[in-house]
Amino acid sequence: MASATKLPLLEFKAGRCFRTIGTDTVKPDPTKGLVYLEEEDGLMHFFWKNRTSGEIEDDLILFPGDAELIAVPQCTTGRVVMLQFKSSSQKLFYWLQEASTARDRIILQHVNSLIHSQDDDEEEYLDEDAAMEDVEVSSGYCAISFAPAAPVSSSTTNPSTTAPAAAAAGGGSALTAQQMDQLRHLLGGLQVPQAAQRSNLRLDHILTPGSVAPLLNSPEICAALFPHLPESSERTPEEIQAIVRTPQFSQALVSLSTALESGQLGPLLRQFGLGPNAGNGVEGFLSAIQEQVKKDKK
Amino acid sequence: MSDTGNWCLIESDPGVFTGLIKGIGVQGVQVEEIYSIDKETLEDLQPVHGLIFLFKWQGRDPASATNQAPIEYENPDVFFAQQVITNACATQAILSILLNSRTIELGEELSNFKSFVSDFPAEIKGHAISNSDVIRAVHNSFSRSDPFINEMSDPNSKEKEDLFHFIAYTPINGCLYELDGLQEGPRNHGPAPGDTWLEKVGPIIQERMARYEGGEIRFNLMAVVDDRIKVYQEKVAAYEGQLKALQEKEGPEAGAWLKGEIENLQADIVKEEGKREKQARENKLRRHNFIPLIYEILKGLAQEEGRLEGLIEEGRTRAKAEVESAKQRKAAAAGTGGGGPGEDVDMYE
Repeated sequence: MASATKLPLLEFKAGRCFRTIGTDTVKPDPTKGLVYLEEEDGLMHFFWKNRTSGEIEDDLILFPGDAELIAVPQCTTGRVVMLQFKSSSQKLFYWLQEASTARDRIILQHVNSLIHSQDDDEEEYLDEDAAMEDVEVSSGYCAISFAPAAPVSSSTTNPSTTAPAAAAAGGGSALTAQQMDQLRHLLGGLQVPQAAQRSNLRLDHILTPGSVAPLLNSPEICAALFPHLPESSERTPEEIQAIVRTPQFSQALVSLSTALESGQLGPLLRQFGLGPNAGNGVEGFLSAIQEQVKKDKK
Repeated sequence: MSDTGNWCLIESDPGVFTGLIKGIGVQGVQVEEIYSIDKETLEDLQPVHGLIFLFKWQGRDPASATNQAPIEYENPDVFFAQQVITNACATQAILSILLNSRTIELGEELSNFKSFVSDFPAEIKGHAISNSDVIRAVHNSFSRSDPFINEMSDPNSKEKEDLFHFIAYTPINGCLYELDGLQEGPRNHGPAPGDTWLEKVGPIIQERMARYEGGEIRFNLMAVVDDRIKVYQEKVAAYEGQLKALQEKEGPEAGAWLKGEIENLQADIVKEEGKREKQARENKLRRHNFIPLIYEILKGLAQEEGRLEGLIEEGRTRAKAEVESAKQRKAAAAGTGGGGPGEDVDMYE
């Protein structure tokens, strides 16, 4: 079924490489794959799709200038490449599976120019790509070309987002409403790359009704939590307790854990005033909060 | 089937569907979950505009393809859109019912949409739905990452996720139609004048359910019905009129059964109002951004020396136990002693 409604900006055949546990070497995995870059809601996504199963197994968000795809110098064939993030220590390894090596260097250049110049017009790259025979652009996808928003007027209010709670009262969290929405949006569409999972610990293992209850005896802590309750909720400890018991809250804990484990939230979490470690999985997020609280106390 | 195209998965829940319909600007209808497709259940909910059936998608019905109702490729009276985005299927099933109804008030937004796409072929209609900013925005406002959270709770699971699909059954021009966005056109199940489609649809859905091997219980059936409170209020008004007429004829003691009926209906109204409040609260929670609350609670827990550390330790134990029990379940399901120590083998499948 043809369902893609937009063209990938660039795609090339590549497999993944995984670190051999306990060593500093990576080993190519023979699975056939496809890397492609696509822009979704103004964010650049780096996908790796298993060509055998058709499943997308890596979905990484690349912020402008935050990552680089480079050839690994230690690799003798020159076909192992590394996606290296500047904001975190995360590195992902791939090996090029294009039949010809002739365009390897151009692929790297294209990926990097896409990461660096995300605000530029996409058309430019598409035109260039069309001239490149080895790099398949958008083959097999169908593009449709009528104005998307034409059928409906934009006069109605957009009910998609309720105003997020005001940024945290004090305590170093300074996310704007827009950034919060962006963060929340990210949570909706993230897949966890298998290779990046560090721990099975999730936030719902920690924030249970039982563990939250004792907190609610403190009027100060309750006062800090009230602004973040859904609109029109009662400002009482009982209401907080009731909300913590809802399936919607549990679901939020699971989604946030998944997003944290994807390793892609680092830059956004730093806007909470959390240390660089915060993007490093659930464990990293928790230890960054502990550090922050310790620092605030001093 | 794999592209999400920025359409989030939404929960299969009557409160979500009702909110979605209201969000698109359609008045006077709501969605009720039903647990039985017998005539009585459906008649209780009258007027019923259509049924939405959710089931596990198993590919394109190979075995029973022969006795399927015929597809009508060109019927200008039927609104049919092919589904182009997997996650949009619930919304698509709802739209199939709304846009084929002669009685539902669609509101400005959806009326415009309907006339805009009316001449498009089915596939382009599907694209028009997926490209409609308003429909998508309303749909996504009910987003939740997965309708069957149990499937998601083991992020290490490499098993294929089940795909679920929604289809609609609705009467159009005196015939019962099956509107399934993955088919090439609407299927006409034959004449069913008036309300008789409600009797006809039961066996069709039951036959579909029977195709699943025993144990598959993840079906969901919802009905698009008229606003219940309005229906109850109209009945109350009618009974009150009858009661008054009866009492004028036979005295104030007459019509005890009518009084009883009115009381029952009033109790139903109170019940329905309670249900709506609950649904509104759940929808509000679904839309709420919990990240700041989670962050502040964790900060609160970190205030007291050692408290968060203790909870993290407990959490790790719990996570470990979960992984263990998942492994055991898998081993039990496989019927063998499990795969031994080679944990990464399935990477090469």
